Amino acid sequence: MNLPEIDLDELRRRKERNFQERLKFIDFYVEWLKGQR
Amino acid sequence: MRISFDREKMVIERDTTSLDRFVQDFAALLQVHGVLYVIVSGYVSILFGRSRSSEDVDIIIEHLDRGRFLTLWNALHPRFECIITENADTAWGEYLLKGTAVRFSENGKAIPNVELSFPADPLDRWTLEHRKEVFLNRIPLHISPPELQIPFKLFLGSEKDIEDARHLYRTLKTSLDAELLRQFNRKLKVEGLFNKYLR
Repeated sequence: MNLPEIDLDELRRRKERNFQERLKFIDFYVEWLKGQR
Repeated sequence: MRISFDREKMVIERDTTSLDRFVQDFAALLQVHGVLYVIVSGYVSILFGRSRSSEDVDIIIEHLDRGRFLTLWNALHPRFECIITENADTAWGEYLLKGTAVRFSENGKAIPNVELSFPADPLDRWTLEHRKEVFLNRIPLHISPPELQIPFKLFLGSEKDIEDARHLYRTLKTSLDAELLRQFNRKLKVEGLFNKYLR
């Protein structure tokens, strides 16, 4: 089975971008929760 | 929970949770519309019985052109809504094509949600190509191969990720392709974490 090329530096950058996206989602979710009250 | 394996598929029998039903319903729409998909990250461990919930379920789908994406968007929308944007063209052109995921939840809910993305790199494309079929209470789902999922969780490296990796490894140990697992451990440079936490 051929394994894919893995660029670990790029993977670390993706991990950080994903983390930033999750932080933005938390902000969205908190505002959504406030709107449910 | 009962799990059985053969070379082609895995079968899980356990109580179905509301999160499982959410994932099964979303995946069924992808399947019906002929969209190749693979579930990655936390839900894979949950599927195999890990005792935690999740706010989001990561799904990689094949790259769709605008027409196919609009068809999928319209098929999803009676039940699911995109919580990032109400505009399909924005979701496709400003998010997915630029490598950012879009989130879909059931109408009127924010969680749980599916974090949907196009393949971003060769690793995503490999995962999609080599996805495994799992039947949860006879309903099919496509997941990332555990031999990649376990090292990838170790690479992510939070306590939760390491626990997910350990759960998967301990649950599926006898069915894993040990050589493939070893190669991904090496490529992701997580042999040390593997030996420390999973052995």
